[in-house]
Amino acid sequence: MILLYLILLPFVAGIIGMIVAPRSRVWARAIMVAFLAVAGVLVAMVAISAAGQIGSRPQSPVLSYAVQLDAAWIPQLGISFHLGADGLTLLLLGLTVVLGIVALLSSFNDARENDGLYLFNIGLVIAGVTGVFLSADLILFFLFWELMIVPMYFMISIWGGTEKRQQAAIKFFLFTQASGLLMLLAMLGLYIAHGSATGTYTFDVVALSAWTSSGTIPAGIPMVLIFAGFLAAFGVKLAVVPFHSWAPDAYAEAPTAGSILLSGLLLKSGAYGLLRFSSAFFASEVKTLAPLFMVLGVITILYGSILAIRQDDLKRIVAYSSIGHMGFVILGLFSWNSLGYSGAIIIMMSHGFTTSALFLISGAVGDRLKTRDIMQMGGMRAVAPRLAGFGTAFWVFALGLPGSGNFLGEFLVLAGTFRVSVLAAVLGAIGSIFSLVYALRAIHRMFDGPRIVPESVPDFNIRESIVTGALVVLVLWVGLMPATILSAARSAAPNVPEATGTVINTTGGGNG
Amino acid sequence: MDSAMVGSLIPLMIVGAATIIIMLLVAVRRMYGLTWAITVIGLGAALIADLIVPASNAGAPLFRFDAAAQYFSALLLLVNLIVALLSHRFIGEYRENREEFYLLLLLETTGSVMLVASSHFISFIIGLELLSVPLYAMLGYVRNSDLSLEAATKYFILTAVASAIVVFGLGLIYFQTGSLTLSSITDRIAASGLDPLLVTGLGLVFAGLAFKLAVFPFHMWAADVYEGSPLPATAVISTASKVAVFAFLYRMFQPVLSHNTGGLAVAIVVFAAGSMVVGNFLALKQTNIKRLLAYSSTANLGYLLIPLVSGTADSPQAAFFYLSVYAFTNLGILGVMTMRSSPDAESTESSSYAGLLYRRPLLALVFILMLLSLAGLPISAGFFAKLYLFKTSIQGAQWFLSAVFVLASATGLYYYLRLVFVQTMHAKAGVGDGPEPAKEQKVRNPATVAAMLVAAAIILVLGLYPSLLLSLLQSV
Repeated sequence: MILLYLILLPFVAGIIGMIVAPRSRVWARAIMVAFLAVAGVLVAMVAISAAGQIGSRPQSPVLSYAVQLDAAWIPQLGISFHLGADGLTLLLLGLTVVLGIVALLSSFNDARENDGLYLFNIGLVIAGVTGVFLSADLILFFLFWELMIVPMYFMISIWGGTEKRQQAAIKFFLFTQASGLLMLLAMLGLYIAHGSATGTYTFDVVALSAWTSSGTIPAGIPMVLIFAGFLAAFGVKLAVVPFHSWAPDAYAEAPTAGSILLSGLLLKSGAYGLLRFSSAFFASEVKTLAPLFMVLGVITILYGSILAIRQDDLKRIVAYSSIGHMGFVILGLFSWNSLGYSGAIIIMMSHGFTTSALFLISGAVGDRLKTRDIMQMGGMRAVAPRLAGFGTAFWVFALGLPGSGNFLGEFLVLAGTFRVSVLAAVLGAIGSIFSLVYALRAIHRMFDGPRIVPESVPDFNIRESIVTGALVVLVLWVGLMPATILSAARSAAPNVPEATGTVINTTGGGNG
Repeated sequence: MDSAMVGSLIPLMIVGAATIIIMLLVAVRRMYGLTWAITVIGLGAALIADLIVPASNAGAPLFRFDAAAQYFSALLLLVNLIVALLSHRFIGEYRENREEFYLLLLLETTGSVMLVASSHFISFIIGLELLSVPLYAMLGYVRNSDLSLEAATKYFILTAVASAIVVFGLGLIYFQTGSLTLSSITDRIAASGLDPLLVTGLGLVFAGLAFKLAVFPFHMWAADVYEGSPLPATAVISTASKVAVFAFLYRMFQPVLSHNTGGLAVAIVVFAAGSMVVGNFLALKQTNIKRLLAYSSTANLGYLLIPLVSGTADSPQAAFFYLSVYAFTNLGILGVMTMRSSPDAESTESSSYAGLLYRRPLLALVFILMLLSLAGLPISAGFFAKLYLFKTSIQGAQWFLSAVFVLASATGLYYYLRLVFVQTMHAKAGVGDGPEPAKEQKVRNPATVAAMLVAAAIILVLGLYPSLLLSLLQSV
C-alpha cells in the first residue's frame, strides 16, 4: 500500500495547496513540501526494507519488482492496478521528491494569478510522474503518462512567460500526444501478440516480460515495430533529435517550477521508460536498432551542445544543454552493456539535480533583472555573490567537472560506448568539449566582465541558498559516492549484459 | 400476461402516467415549473422502478424485458432525465408555449423504451414511430426560427422515408418467415439458410435504421438537423435516439450475423469504414460545434458497428459500454452549450468558447473532459471505451476495420483537441459570431448545472474505474 500512498500524497498535497493558497502562499507551499517530505520518508522506508533485493543482480532475465502492489482493476480487459518498485524506481522516486520540493520552493514568483490552481497542477504532475515510475501495467503506465502531460500543458499555457506560450504549450502537447498514441499502439500490439499466442490477454509488465524473455515469441510478430512505437514516445520526451523541436520552446516558456518539473522529471520519465521497457521486453531488438540510435544519440549530443553555444536566452541555453545530456542517456542505453546502462542512470540523477538548479537560477535571475538575455547581465558576481557562486558551481557541474555526477555518468557512458563503437565514443567526447564552451560562456557573460546589471539586484535569499546548496551536495554525492546508485542500477536491468573486464568494480561497495 | 411481465412494465406505466397528467394539466392551466417537476419525478421514478424490478426472460410476444432491455431502459430513462434537467432554463426562456416540450420528451422516452424492449415487428414499429414523431415536433419547437423548421422538415421527410424502407424490409422478412416475431428470423436462417429475399429484407431494415443513426451513406441530413434544432432537441436526437435505435439494431442483427450472411456482413463493414472516414473528415473543417457533433456522431456510429461484425464473446459489452459513454459525453457537451445559450441566441460557434477556461472554469473543465473522452484520451471513460472496442475488433480479426479505426481516431484528435485549445486561449474581444464574451450572462441554473455535473461525474468515474459498468454489462 505504501506505493499507492506515494502517488496519492502529491495529489492530496496539490488539493490542499489549492485550498490554502488563497489565504497564504507560504503555508500552502510549506504544507505541500511537508507532504512530499513524508513521501520521501516512505521511499526511504521502502528502500531500506527491500535493500537485500535491490543491491543484487537478479539471476532471471524476467523483470521482477522488489516491492509490489497488485489489485484487480479492469479484469475484462486484462488491466490490473499493478504497482512495482525496484532499485531504479526508488532512485527516481527519490529524485521526484527532491525535485518536487525544489520546484515548490522556487515557485513563489511563478503564478501571479490563480496560485492555488498552479499548485494543484504541480501536485498533479508530481503524482503523474510518480505513477509512471511505479506502474507495472502498461495501461496504468499510459494513464499516468497522460496524466502528467495535461497539467504541464496548463502550466505552460496559463502561467508561461511570453506571448508565445500558447504555441509552445500546444506544440508540447501535440508532440507528446502523438508519440503517446504510437506508444499506445505498440502496447496494444504487444498485448494482442501475447494474447493471441498464449490465450491470456494482459497488460501486466511482469507477465509480458516473462513472455518476451522466454524466447517463445512466434515468428512474424514485428517486435522491432512495437519497440519503435515505445521509442517514439520516449524519444519525444527525451527530446532526441529529430523529435526535439518542442523542447526549447516549452522549457523557455514554462514558469520556473514548470521548467524544473519538465526537465527534471518529465524528461526522466522518458528515460525511465526507455531503460525499463527496453530491458524488460526488447533485449534482442535493442541490438537491431542500436546503430541507428547510436547515431541519433551522437547527433543529439553534438546538436544540443553546439546550439547551446549560440543561445542568448539563459533558459534556452539550459534547454539545449539538457538535450545534449539526454543524448548521453541514449548512447548509454544502446551501447547495451552494464557500464553504459549504469552511466545513463547516473546521468539521469545528476542531470535532474543540475538542470533544475540551473532553471531555478535562470528563474531567479529573470525575476530580478526582468530579462534572461545573458548579453545584458555581466558582472553579477559583484552585486550578488551567492547567486553567482552557485551559478558558477552548477555551470561547472553541467560541463562535466570531475567529482560531479555528470562527469561520472558521461565517463561510464563513453566507456560503455567505447566497447561497441569507438567512433561514437570519440564523437560523444567531442560533445563534452562543446559543453565546456557554452558553460564557460554563460559563466563569463552572466557573472564576470564589466558590471551592466544595476547595483540593486538582490542576492540569493536564505531559501534560495539552502535549496541550491542542497542540490550542490546531491550532485557531489552522485559523483563521489555512486555505489548506491550503481548497485540499484544493476538490479534494474536483468537483461543487460555485463561489460566484461569491468573498468569499475561496482559490487565491492567501495565509495566509487 | 403474468405478474413478472406486469412488473417489467411498471417503468413504462409511470412514464405514461406522467404523460397523461401533463396533458391534462396543460389543458387546465399552464404551469411550467410543475410540468417540469412532474417530468423529472416521473422519469426518476421510472428509473428507480426499472432498477428494482428483476429482469425476466419470459415475455409476451410483443416485449421481452431481459437484462439487456432493462439496462437500456435504465440508460434511456437516465439520459432523458438529464435532458429534462438541462432543458429547464433553455425551454423556460422560450416565449411561446413551453409545457408541451416535456410532453414530447415523455412520449419520446416511452417510444425509445418500447423500442429497446421490443421482440416483435409490431412493437418495434410502434416504438420507432413513437420515438420519431415527437422528435419532429421537438426539432421544430422554436417555431420562429427558420433553421429549426428546416431541421424538423428535413428530419420528418427523411425519417418517414426511412420508416417506409424499414416496413418494406419487414414485409419481405414476413413473406419468407411467416412470422412477425424477431426470433423467427434466426430460426428460419438456422433451419434453411439465407435466401436472397430474406437478405434483402434484412438489408432494408438495416438501411432504414442506419438512416436514423446517420450512418454513412445515410449521413447527409445530420449536420443540418443538428444545427437547426434547439439544443435540448439536439441532445435527444444525439443521445436517446441513437441509444435506442442502435441498441435495437444490435440486438436484432447480432444473432443474424453470427450466421454466414455474406453480403450483409460485407455491407456493414463498408458502412462502418465509410462512417469512420467520412464522419471524421467532414468534422475536420467544422467551426460550428453542433455540425461537428453531427459528423462526429457519424464517425462514432461507425466505430460502434465494428463489434457488430467482429462478433467475439465480449463484443456486446464493448459496444454497449461505448454507446453509454458516448451518450453521456454528448449530454455533457450539449449541457455546457445549453448553459451559454437561449432559444434566440445559441452559442454554437467554436470561437465563442475562446478563453472559456478563464471566464467559466467549471463549464470549461466539463467541456474539456468531454472532448478528451470523445477523443479517447485517458482519465475519461472514452479511453477505455475505445480500448475495449479496439480489443474486440482485433480479437475478431477485423484487421481492415481496426486499421481504419486507429486512423480515424487519430484524425478525430485534431478537431476535438482544437476545441480544447480554443478554450484555453485568452479570448480576444470582438471575435466570433456568438455572444460577446464581455456581455456574457452568467447563468446559474441548478437543474442545468446538475445535469452537466451528473454527465461529467459518470464520464470521470468510468474513466477511473470502468469495471463498475463493465461488470454490470457482463450480465447483459
